[in-house]
Amino acid sequence: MRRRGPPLPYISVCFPSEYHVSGADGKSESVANLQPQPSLSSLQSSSPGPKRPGNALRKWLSPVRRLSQGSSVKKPTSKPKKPGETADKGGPGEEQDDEAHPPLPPPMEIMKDTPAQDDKVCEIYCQLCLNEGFFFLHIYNPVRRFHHSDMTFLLLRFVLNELVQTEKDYVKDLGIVVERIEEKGVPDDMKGKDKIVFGNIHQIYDWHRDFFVVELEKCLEDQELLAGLFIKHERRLHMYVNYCQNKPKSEYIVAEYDTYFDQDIQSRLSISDFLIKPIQRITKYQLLLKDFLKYSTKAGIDCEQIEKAVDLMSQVPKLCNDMMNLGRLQGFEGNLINQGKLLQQETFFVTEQDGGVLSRSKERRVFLFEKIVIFSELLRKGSSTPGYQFKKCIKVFVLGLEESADNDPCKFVLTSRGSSERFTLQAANVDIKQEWIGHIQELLDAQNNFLSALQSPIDYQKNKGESNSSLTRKSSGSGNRSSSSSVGRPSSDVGLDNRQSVKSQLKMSASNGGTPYFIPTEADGDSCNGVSSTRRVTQDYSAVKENEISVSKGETVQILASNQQNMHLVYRQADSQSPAAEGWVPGFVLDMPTKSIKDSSSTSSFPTAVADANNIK
Amino acid sequence: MPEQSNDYRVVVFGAGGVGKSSLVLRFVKGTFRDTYIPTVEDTYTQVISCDKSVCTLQITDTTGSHQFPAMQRLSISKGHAFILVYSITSRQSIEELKPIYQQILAIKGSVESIPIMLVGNKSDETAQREVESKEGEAQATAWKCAFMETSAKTNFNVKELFQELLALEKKRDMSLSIDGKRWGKQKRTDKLKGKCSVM
Repeated sequence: MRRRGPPLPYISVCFPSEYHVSGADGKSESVANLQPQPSLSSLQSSSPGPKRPGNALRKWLSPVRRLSQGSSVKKPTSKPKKPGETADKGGPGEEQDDEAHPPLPPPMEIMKDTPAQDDKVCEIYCQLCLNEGFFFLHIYNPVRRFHHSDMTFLLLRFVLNELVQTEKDYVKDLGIVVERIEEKGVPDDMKGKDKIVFGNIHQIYDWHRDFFVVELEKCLEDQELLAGLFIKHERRLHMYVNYCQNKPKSEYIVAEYDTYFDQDIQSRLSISDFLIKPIQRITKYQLLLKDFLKYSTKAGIDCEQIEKAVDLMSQVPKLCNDMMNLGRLQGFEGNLINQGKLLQQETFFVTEQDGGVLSRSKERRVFLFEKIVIFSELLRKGSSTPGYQFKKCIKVFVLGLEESADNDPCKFVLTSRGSSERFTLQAANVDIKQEWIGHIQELLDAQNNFLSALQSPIDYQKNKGESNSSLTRKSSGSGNRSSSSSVGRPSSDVGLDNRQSVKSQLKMSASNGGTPYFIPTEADGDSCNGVSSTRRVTQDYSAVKENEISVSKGETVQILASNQQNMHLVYRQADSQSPAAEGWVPGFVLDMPTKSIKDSSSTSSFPTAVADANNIK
Repeated sequence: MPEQSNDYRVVVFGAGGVGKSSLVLRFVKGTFRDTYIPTVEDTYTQVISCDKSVCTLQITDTTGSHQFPAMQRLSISKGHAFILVYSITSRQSIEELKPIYQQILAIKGSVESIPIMLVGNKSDETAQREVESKEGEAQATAWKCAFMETSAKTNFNVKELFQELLALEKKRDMSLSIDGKRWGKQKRTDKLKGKCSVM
């Protein structure tokens, strides 16, 4: 067996590296196989502490280093891998090279405890060395040199590094497609369909480029930031739900235009290969976080946050998946994207009653969104590609719940206020029923809180104020005028993430925390219980991004949130021309915020909003 | 239809840990990693010869999407050929391929003209073998697809896997070649007809 040769003389890297290799021995017949790796020397003799310089690490951990072809390629496979063997021999078979090198340090203590685990760790290290160019390995016997916490640390770095590197690649790929679209424009006959084809890819691109990749890189310096980053921005990642939901439709359209874009995109990938990347990407965070969790657990790091992040990042692609299935919901006129988060879906036997006529029980797939309950018929049952036929729906703001029916512990009733429709749902078991009732009750409670907040904001805040930290904080920031309009226009104290500010706004008004975002239905715009401000639109604006809305001169909008880029999240009530809308507009299309609107204006507008909402239904 | 393009898309499916990424990495980069395998590498491209000109062989690694069938759907509908990987050391892993196969069948309508290769990876780990070759073959027969055992670690049958898969494609004449250099020993004419099934 040919062995990998010793390191090139100038590679003076070791780990932990109080020992420097200098001077080659004579056995360099296979050195020719190795590319010089000067970059390794940039990894100076730092001990494996948590603060490595990012650059060195990146080179160090770069996954692109390729072993040269030939015998050395097979090296990894020829190394002893079996636990025990490594330990027994005290090294991966290269120790005969040792004589030419400085004396070994004393064995490390790890050999005493959990040998199987440590052997695995050594094996991992061997592999890392071989694959990543840590050629000093065979000089310093890793079994005696390393503590396994160093190893798990290394692996954690690998995961982080992969996360960052792939995020950069991802941003680059998105950039290619977005810039190509902007530069070249869409084909004439594609106009109008381009929204379908490209969905909110611009929004996704902007966010990853301007924010997420930057934040991820910070995690290289401080890995404790990682879990929190994902937890904090989970809601933001829901833009992928929007994207994915659209994808099955766009696939067909984009295929027709593949060649149009193909001619331009330099890479060998076609436009549709780029357009699928967000869908591939959103499934990867959970994988990488799971690895991160695995190694963090090994390293004895407190994993509570990481577990939470894994859980959230598993839910997002799950939701994407569910919504893609729902993309095949036939016959539903509305836009599912506007129905809030999909909270639950389940198959029930449903009996409908409308004005005394009782239907027979039918199997229905029922979807509970934050704003709507949808009853559908499952098509292609048992297939992995289900389809749904829309049957009925109840908007949450007219939803009524009766927790028991027919003395059957598995049944409950959903009603629609203002109509005589009653739906009796029979669950497969009591647990499912309880889970649904819990979720629905939560929605209804949040809604009721919200209503009472709107109707008598001051009383509401007296009751809730002390228990609501976000409110207290904001209020004190604006001179303790809790119902003044300035609270409704948070400016400098709003963080980077728009959603966060909106969320806190809604929390402030709708309930004392734990409220799903955008619970209030069509009356969203009247949130903030009398603290929202109204502004007049001074010029027409056409939405350029997915999360923006178009507004016309003269319209009145309510400001729900603002950010530092002078963008405002506004709510526009429905009028005879257009439905109610909510989204971002730039500040320059709004008049100056000179006059604060009195509390009464937003409270009094509530019945109108409800009336509008009822009309929409 | 997304079918006609200058690309040839191979989609690799399989449960977590069966060696999808390792197989693809071994094929594309010639390397193998035993420990830290990058999880995220979506699409590899390779120039191959197709109908006497070049086209791009795209290998899509579906790592991460296996709990999300609707997302897999997209990969399937875009794919021209499929590699279904299980590990010979895990019976569970071959079981997990069944819904994927069903989904391919449902989306493509029929698998008759679709090159599909069932792959038992980790063939070097004989001591831990749970799935015999015969069982893999039987499953492949039932699925009317080809079958192979491979080892990404020892580089056993990896190149062959991709060669055979391309040979299964009847609509186009394809072979692996990189910058004019032929992979494998057979001449291209051998691949034209005849050598199309490993079964």
